[in-house]
Amino acid sequence: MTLAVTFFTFALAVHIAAIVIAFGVTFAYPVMYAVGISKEARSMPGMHRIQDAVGKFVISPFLGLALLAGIYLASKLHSWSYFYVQWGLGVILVLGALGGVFFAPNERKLGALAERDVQAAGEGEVSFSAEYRTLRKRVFLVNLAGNVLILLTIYFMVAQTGT
Amino acid sequence: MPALRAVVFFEVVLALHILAVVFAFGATFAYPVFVSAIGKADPRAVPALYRAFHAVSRMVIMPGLVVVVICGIYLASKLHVWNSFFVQWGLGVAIVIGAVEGMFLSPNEKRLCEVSERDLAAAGDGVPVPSAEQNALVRRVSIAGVLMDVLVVLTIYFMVVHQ
Repeated sequence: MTLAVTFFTFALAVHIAAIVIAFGVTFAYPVMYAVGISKEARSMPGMHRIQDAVGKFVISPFLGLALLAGIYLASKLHSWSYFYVQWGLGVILVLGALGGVFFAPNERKLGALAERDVQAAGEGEVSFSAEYRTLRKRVFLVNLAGNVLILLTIYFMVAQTGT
Repeated sequence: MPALRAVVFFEVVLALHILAVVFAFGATFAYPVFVSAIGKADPRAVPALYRAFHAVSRMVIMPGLVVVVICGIYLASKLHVWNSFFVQWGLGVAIVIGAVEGMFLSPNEKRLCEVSERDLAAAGDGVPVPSAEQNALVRRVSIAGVLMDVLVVLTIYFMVVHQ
């Protein structure tokens, strides 16, 4: 009995820690890229390339862990019919899909566009193309929308909305 | 009605407390991936990465930590749980992280920016090779970062277990 309770609390802690690890970095991206764009234009190709590595080695695995722990918790509590569980599952699937079909290819494309613009500048001041700025804005806005979804999900989880 | 409003406010503060943890501490879990990936992606962008870390410390971690503490104080006072271990541990960890961030990590990150910039300048147009000082600083900052991440995960566990 105690062991089962301990495993449940362990799974809940893993679920929360996985969310912290998976999504925390996405809240820091705007600051990192604001600093990069304004002061470190020549480093932007490298910065976009490591964003791809972070997606592969941090965000995706911990998103998977959060999903697995969430499935265990919802099954254990028989709470699959509750809104906050369905919402949470939906958000994880949406963010996972966005990571694979939107963020990863667009981060790679941003890296390539930044590289092209830096090379075109030669030794002079780097001026990013309209194509780069438009794509970066699009990625920023989708990232922001993802962060709003995370904020809403945390609230629904805390309030256990729909129980 | 006022009771419902009080419950909703409590839930909002609790959600804000958890979101602030995601916001403040999540990015640091990805730092090892950033550091190992930048060397391969673009060694010349290393100083820019450290400047971005330093900006994240000032603009994300410290303000997020303040929100975590303020919300935590409200929650502990509302629940009258100041004498509970998880609250005292959480407060202690927040103070330790704030102190380590302000007195150790931030100045060392600043020094890393200077040292990596110097190593980059020394490389000229070639591939920069990190100096012994840079490697030692990276090791010191990484160890402190990992210890703080362990503290965050332990704190999440203690917060969950108290339920």
